[in-house]
Formats: sequence, structure tokens, C-alpha cells
Amino acid sequence: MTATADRPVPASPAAGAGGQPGSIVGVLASTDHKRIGLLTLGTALVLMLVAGGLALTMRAQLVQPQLHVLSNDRYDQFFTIHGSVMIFMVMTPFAIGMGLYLVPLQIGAPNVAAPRTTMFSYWLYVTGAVAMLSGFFTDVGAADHGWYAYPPLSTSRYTPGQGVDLWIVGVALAGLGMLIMAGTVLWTALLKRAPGMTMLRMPVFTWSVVAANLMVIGSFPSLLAADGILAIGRVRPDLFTHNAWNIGYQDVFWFFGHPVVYVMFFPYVGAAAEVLATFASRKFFGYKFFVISQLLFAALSMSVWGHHMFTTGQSANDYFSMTSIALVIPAGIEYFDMLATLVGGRLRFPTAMLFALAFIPQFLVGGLTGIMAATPALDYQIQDSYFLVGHWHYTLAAGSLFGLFAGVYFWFPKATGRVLHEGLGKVHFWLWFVGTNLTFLPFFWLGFHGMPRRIPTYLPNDGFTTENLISSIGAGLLGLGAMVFILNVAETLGRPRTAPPDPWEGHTLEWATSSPPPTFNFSLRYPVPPVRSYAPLLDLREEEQHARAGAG
Amino acid sequence: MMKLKPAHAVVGAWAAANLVLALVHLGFHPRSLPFFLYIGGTAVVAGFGLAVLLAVRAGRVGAQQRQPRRASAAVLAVIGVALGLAGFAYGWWLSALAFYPVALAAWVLRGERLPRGARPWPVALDGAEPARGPRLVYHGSSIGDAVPVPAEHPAHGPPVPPPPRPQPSATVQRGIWVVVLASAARGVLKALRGRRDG
Repeated sequence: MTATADRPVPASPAAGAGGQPGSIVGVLASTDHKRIGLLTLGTALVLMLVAGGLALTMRAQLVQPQLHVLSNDRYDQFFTIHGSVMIFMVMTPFAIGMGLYLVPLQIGAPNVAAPRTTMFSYWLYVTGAVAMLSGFFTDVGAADHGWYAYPPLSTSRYTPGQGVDLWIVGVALAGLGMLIMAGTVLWTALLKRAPGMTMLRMPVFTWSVVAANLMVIGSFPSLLAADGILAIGRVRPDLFTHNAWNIGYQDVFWFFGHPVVYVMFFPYVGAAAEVLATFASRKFFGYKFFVISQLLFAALSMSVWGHHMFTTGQSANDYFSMTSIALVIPAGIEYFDMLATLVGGRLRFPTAMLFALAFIPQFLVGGLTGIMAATPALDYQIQDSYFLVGHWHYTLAAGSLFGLFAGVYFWFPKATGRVLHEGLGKVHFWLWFVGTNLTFLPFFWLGFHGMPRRIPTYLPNDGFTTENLISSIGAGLLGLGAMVFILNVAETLGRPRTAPPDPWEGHTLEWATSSPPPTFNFSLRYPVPPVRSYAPLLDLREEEQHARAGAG
Repeated sequence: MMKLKPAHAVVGAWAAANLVLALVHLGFHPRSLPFFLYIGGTAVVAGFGLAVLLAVRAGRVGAQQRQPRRASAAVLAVIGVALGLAGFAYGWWLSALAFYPVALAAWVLRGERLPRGARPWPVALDGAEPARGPRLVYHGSSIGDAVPVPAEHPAHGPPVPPPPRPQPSATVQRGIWVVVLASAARGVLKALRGRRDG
């Protein structure tokens, strides 16, 4: 195509000033929210494989008593980096990155607000991940103090070497990156909406991103502060001879550490909600209640951090127990809305729907065991046991990760123009459904039988062998499922782009544009349709059906 | 007075909900650090809400017209920040090197955004219609190639003028304030009376 204009091109960039689309600079210095979003999501998925590899190695170590696949030190490093990477580099960035990719599309905006700043945040995240993982190549290995790096263990006196320093640098970079990215996405949702897209017409996914990003704004500065305290403690370890600083660090860290759990949950529940509504072919039930409960849920989430410190005797246990248990109210509303959306719907069961359906009961297990852990009398018993590991993994792996994959299968055609292979998708789903429950359900029994978390091995007469064996078999299935997913993605990306703009009969604006969307999301060929509710495309389809019925 | 806009009202209401929870926390005799931590976090969100409010009042809502062409400065700045922090692990001499990429980023930064009032040339994915409205000279970084759009295409037309901003109703706003203050006063009186009776 050539330019036929004889008018001047006033703002044409100088030759070589910027990257061409396919060039390295064009990709790595892009200002397109979709490109930055896909880079973030792709990076997070690659890092998920790294963290998954660490987890599989740990499960290999624990499959039988007294194995020596890893040394004790290396085992400590593996569980530390597994947890840190999954939280700081995978689940949180993926949640925020999904928002970055989808929110401008869902609200009819051409781009994210402050795209350069957003790209800056992506690169902060990547360098953070590189810094953290590079700890493995230092003399003493990577950080080995657990993902929350309690002092005084994490000080240079008790954990010397550069591994912890690099962990601190990595967390600072990634934490700052995610804070900035969440800020630009939130700004976009609040201020850059298309005409007609009022706040109460935003899709449920966008609302879930708004709620999550509000928590990021409120809590991530606290992570940076905690990281700073640790850094000072590395230089001056005497700081932590005063217990006020040790407990103070825990407060500052968990003020970030609990809200981030919901940052790693809300966008995935939003994704599951969109999938459920689309494949039930009806509007999401109880939209306004869902929105209010998300915001209430998010506000309460900021007030529960002290339940991580029940056993220190330094937190107001009554208050934190009360607020933690109060979370069941908004969570219950969300669950009710999701289930009610299915009732009476015309259900279809592609892979995305299967992941979304499995998300509901599996996250429920994580949530209900969380209520148990939020009860001080019980928490004193299960503290530092495998029960907590089970609760945590049901929340994030069996819960959020299933929401994540529901989103991946659902929006993959939009992002790439290609639909993932359904057969392989279902193999992936069933391997993961069985594997997840085989892996994490035995953790509750292990905790009940007294197995402490973070031990590299156990004795044959401890009575932990059978559960660990089952768990490791389940982990193997998860690894197999991950390979099927990689195969599916590789095979699909090799095919031509044949996905229509709306392969699923979606409800929200992103399905009104091409797959993949053009540079500024909507064009003359694919304009932003009229927005009259939070499901504008469903409205249009229904209007068309009524018109046809009237004509018939 | 300004009509209440939901965007900042959502952030404000959320910060207010956190403030209420922090004040409830106070009733449980917490240590000072957790309490002030919570107040601090709430203040950060409130500050964000204030920024949203100011942006709304300045009319910075809707699609952004002026956009940067590329983000090379961002990449350079990250190299600088990473070098600066790497000094923590490998010696502070490394941090001194951070100056160079940061300075380069500052130099590159200015050329990355179109000057105010520039009339950009719309581009679109190969074979696709271009985006509406005067946006920017954009190399395009979506999947596909960006190509110039023919001059006769409507995308070259004059920009759509922004809709007139609605005039705020001072009376309504004043009325809301009166109701809110009266309700708050009533609530406080009720609470005090309840405590005295109890």
C-alpha cells in the first residue's frame, strides 16, 4: 500500500528514529499495550515453567524418605526461589499483565495510559526476574530464607553471600515494575473509557482488575519499604538485634503480603466470570452485587495481614481474625453470582469453560481452609505445617492457576488470531485437574500428621511416605500437562491465523474487533459498538434476534 | 461546584472504607506501627484518588490523542535503575555506571513523543482499516506491518471536537454535602447516646 497524499506529513518520524514493527527495537521498545501485555504474559509463563521445574525437583526429593536428589542447602534455595518466582514473577505479573492487555480493549480505549511508563515497568519486572534467578550462579547459591525473607535469618550475619542481595534487588525491581504497571492500567480504566462506557458498564473482568490494582497501589509501596528494611539489615545486621525491627518487618511485609494474594486472585476470578457468562450464553448474574462485593473484598483484604502473625503474639488477633472471617461475605456473593450465572444457561464446554468450572470448587477448598487458618486457636496448631502449604496451593495453584488457564484458552484467539487445539486443551485440563488434586490434597493429611513445611527429607517411620508418594505422582501429571500445553501452543502458532473476531460469541468489546486487534484496537472496519450495558455484544445479538423474530 | 464523577468516587469510597477499617482496628488497641501502616496505605490510595480527581477536573478523560512512538528511553532507564541497584550486590562502583544509560534515556526521551498540535499520519495494520481520529505517527508494534493510509481515507479528516463539558449544578452538590454532614452528625450523636445509655 502506498501513500497517495500530496499533503505534507508533518510529524513523520525521522528515518531510523524508531523501531520498525518487526525489528528488535520495535518489539522491545513498543508502546502498544497489547505488545507489552503479551510480553508480560509470555515472560510470566516462561518463568512459571522455571518455577514449576524447581517444584518438580523438590517433589522428586520428597517422593521417598531420605532421598538426596538435592542437598539441604539447595533444597532451601529451591523452595525459596519457587515461592518467590511464583508470587513476584508469575502470578502477580500475569494478573496485572492480563489487565494491561484486556482492559483497554474492554473499555474501548486505543491504548493504555502512559505506554512508555508501562514499558518501563515491564523491563523493571524482567530485570528483577533475571536478578533473582542469577542468585543460582553465585558462590553460595540463591536466596534460601523462604519467600518472605524473615530477618534475622535473611541478614548478612546468618545468610551471607550475594544470593539474598540479588533476591532483594529482584524483588525491588519487580515490585516497582508491577506497582507502576498496575497504576497505568488503573488510570486507563478510570479515565480512558470510550463514550458510553460508564463505570457500571465496565465488564466484570475490568472491575476485577480495578479492585486488584487498587490493592496494588495501597500495598506495594509497603513491599518496597520492607525490601528497604532488609537491605539496611544486610548492610547493618545489628538492626535486627532489636526485636521491634523483626516484628516491624513482618508487619510491613505482610501489609503487602496478604493483599497480594488477592491481587493474584481477583483478575482470575474476573476471567473465570467472563468465561462462565460467555459459555452459559447469558449475562453475568448479579453484576452490581459482584462489583460491590469485589470492592468490599478488596478493602477487607487490606485489613487482614495480621493473621500471618498470630503466633508472634504481637498482632491484634481478634481484629485480624474478625476481618479475615468477614471475607466470606463478599466471597460468598461472588460465588453465588458465578453459580447463578450458570443456572438456566445454554452451557457449552470448551477447554476454557472446563478450567473456569474447576476453578470454582478448587478455590473454595483454598478459601475455606483459609478461614480455618484465620482462626487463631486453629492457626496455633497448623502454623508451619504442610496444612498451610495445602491451603496456599489450593488457593493459588488449584484456584488462581485454573482461572489463569481459563483466561489463556479464552483470549488466546483474540491475542494471536489462532484458536488453541481443543483436544490437546482437554488433555491438558484433565491432567491438571487430576494432578492438582493428587498433588495438593495429601498436603492436608501431611499437615494433620505433623509434617513441617520446608524440610528437605523425612524418615521412613514418620508416616509421611504414602502421602508424599501420591503428591509426587500428581506433580508428575502436572508436568505432563504443562508439556501438552506447550505442545498445543507451539502447534497452534505454526498454523495460519484463521480465528474470527468473535469465535465464542463473547459479550464484551474486545470481541468486536479483529483477532488480533489492529494497532489502536478499533478501526473503521471494526468500530467500537454502542455500549448499553456491561455485555454490549450480547445486547446487539439479542436486538438482532428480536428484529429477526419481528420480521419473521 | 463540580458534579460527582464515579471514577474518583470509586477510589475515594474505597480509601474511605479502608479508613473505617483502620479506625475499627484502633478499637482493638494495636501497636502503633500496624495502625500507621494502614493509615499510610490508605493515604497512598487517597492520593491516587486525588490525582484522578484532578485529571477529571482538567478534562483529561477519554481516548488519548498524543502518544509516544516508541519506548527506547524506558529500556535505557531500566538499564540505569538495574545497574544502580546491582551495586547493592556487587559493589557501589557499579551504581556509578548507572548515570550513563539514565542520561542517554533523558536525551532520547524528548524525541519519542509528537510535539503538541502535530498532525499525525494515521497508519494501520496491513489490510486493516486505520484507527479513527488524529492519533500519531506510529510504527505499529502489533502483529503485522504498519502501512500508511491513503490520503483520501476518512481517517485523515479533521479531529472530532471534544464534547462540551457539562456545567456542574452547585445547588445539588451543596444539598449532598448538607445531607452527608447531617447524617454524619446524627450518627455521632446516636453513637454517643448509645454509649451513655449503655
